Amino acid sequence: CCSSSFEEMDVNEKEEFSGEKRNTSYDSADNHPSDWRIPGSNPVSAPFGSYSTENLITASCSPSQMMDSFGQTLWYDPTNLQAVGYGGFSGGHPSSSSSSCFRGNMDRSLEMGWSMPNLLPPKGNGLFLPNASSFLPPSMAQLPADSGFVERAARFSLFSDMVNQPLAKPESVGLFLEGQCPSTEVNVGVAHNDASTAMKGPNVRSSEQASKPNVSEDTQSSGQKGGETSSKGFDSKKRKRNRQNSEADQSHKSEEEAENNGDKKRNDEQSPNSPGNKTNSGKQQGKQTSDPKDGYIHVRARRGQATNSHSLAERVRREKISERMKFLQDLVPGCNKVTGKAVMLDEIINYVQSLQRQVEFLSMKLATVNPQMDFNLEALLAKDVRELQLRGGSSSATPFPQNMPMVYPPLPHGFMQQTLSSIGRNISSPLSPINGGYKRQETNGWEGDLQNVIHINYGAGDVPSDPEAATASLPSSNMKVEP
Amino acid sequence: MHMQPTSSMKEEFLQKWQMGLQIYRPLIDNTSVSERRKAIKLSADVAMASLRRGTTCWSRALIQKTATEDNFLVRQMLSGIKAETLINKKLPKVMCHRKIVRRSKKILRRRKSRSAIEEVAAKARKLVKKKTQGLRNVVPGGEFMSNDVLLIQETLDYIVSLQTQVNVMRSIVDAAEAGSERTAYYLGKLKFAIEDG
Repeated sequence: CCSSSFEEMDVNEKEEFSGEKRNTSYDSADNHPSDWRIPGSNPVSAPFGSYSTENLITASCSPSQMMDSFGQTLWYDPTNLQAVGYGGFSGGHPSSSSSSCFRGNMDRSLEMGWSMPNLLPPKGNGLFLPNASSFLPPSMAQLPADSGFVERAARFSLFSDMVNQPLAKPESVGLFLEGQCPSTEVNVGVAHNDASTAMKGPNVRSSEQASKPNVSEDTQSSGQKGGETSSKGFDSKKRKRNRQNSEADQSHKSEEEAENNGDKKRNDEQSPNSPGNKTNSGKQQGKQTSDPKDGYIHVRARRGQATNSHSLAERVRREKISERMKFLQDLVPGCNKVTGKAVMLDEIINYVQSLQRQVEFLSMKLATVNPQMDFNLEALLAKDVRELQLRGGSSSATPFPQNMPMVYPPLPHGFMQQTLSSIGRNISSPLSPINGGYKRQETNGWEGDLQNVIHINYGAGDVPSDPEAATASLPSSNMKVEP
Repeated sequence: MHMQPTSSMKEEFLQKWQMGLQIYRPLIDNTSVSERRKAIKLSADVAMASLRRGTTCWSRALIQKTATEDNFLVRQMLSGIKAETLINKKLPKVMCHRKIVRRSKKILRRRKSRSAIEEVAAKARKLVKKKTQGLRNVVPGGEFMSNDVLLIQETLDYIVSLQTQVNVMRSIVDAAEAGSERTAYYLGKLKFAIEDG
């Protein structure tokens, strides 16, 4: 019963969220302790002062590994949480019945908090309210023992517990977080949650696709999420939040970055360094309409992070960069085990330089090998050879054309070894790199005329994939040649 | 999103490259090896860049760089494909003189508390910055990409194109070499056979 009501409320609130201006003060909350029980009404949001949405939406969207490590290090002690939660609650809550109910929910929220991922609302532009709330209790330990505050916190955790939908009540959470300077920790916790759960998804989302189950699908959508409705209420919260939490954010940021660098170095440029694009996106967010057509990329700030438009844009940028670095990892051989931006960049630079050097070397080689620079002939010849080879691979009875006493050995040295020694499949003979590079033969040639012309050698792998086929075929066909 | 060199890419590259080499054929009296090497490399570069048809920054920069060395070749190779605009377009001025920017940032930077953690973070950031600058130096046209995201994107594309180029060239070299080696081999075999009896 309770849960359903809350869900209902959440949905409603979410809809109302964009329109409402949430400026009610804290105090009104105290007067209506049981308000939260009323389904469909909007009581919870009312009491809580304005709080920028962003901070709530921690987004499971911390796909970056940095958040992961970060969260882990700053994780707080679950046991603490419980104690605080309970203690605070009993102290503050006026009605015993609600308190007991609350406690029960608290339990659940605590559990859920730790188990993390499942809690996240499956879809939508979520605030990770559930996460946020579950993290609230620990931070409460650091808060001044404000009974009203505690009460709200308790309420909130109950709230989050029930919530399956992404809640559009950032303010409520924000309320709590504002009180704490160490909102950093809370955020970290949330971030951690999100990170561990959402790690799988690509890091496109700086927008708030929160939760777990939908993480993968949601993150598939590119960074251009037009029209997040939740972004509407963005501005006012953002500004207020900025003023109050700038300090917290800065310390948070430095912490975060310190942690990040442990695992994955990020090319963080602080807000002062904003080049053009950052300010642009900042402006965009300043006057957002959630219109998908306007071409803006809507970004939501993560919880506990600076809601500076600069930082938001920065985060988008960072995530884009890491996404692309992932592609690079696939492309550059040997980069899979490497983590960390600096090392990866190093590898990339080396690879590009080696490719460029190869081009130089090959052109030099061509210049010496073929003074006439007449390559077509080679191509044509090689074509026949290649065909021979292919056929030779299938059957050993390939007739060898007498008029063209040329078999194109992919590896002359290996070839010669085999034929001269008259040994059958000496497959183990190493491929001698003709050009000083490594070769791997691809049997799938090109289409078209030049198809069978040339072995397409992939210059990077040092273990050729199927050289045996080629070399094995050769001896048999070459055997014929020998008198 | 990004791929390995495809067959069609390689074919197209080869065709364009051959076309470029044809331009040199009448001037075959460039007997020096280095001249030939240069011709080969330049036509290969332009061929590689023209595969992208001016859509990427690095390809434009590469074409312009080659044009400074051999304008005629570039014009010929790109004739018909928006070549003129590409060549004539001046390279954009360097977006930022990094030294100057760095100095002014230093001046502006306000003193922050130097915790150990922050220093580590700052060092890491500096390192990354240096590396990205190194990458800029390697990728053609990199100096004009102040946007890091763009830089990485261009690098991706550039790497794929380089792989194509290297693959095709290597294959040609193999064929060419095999041709000469073939001859040598068979000459050797012949000799052997003759000696044997």
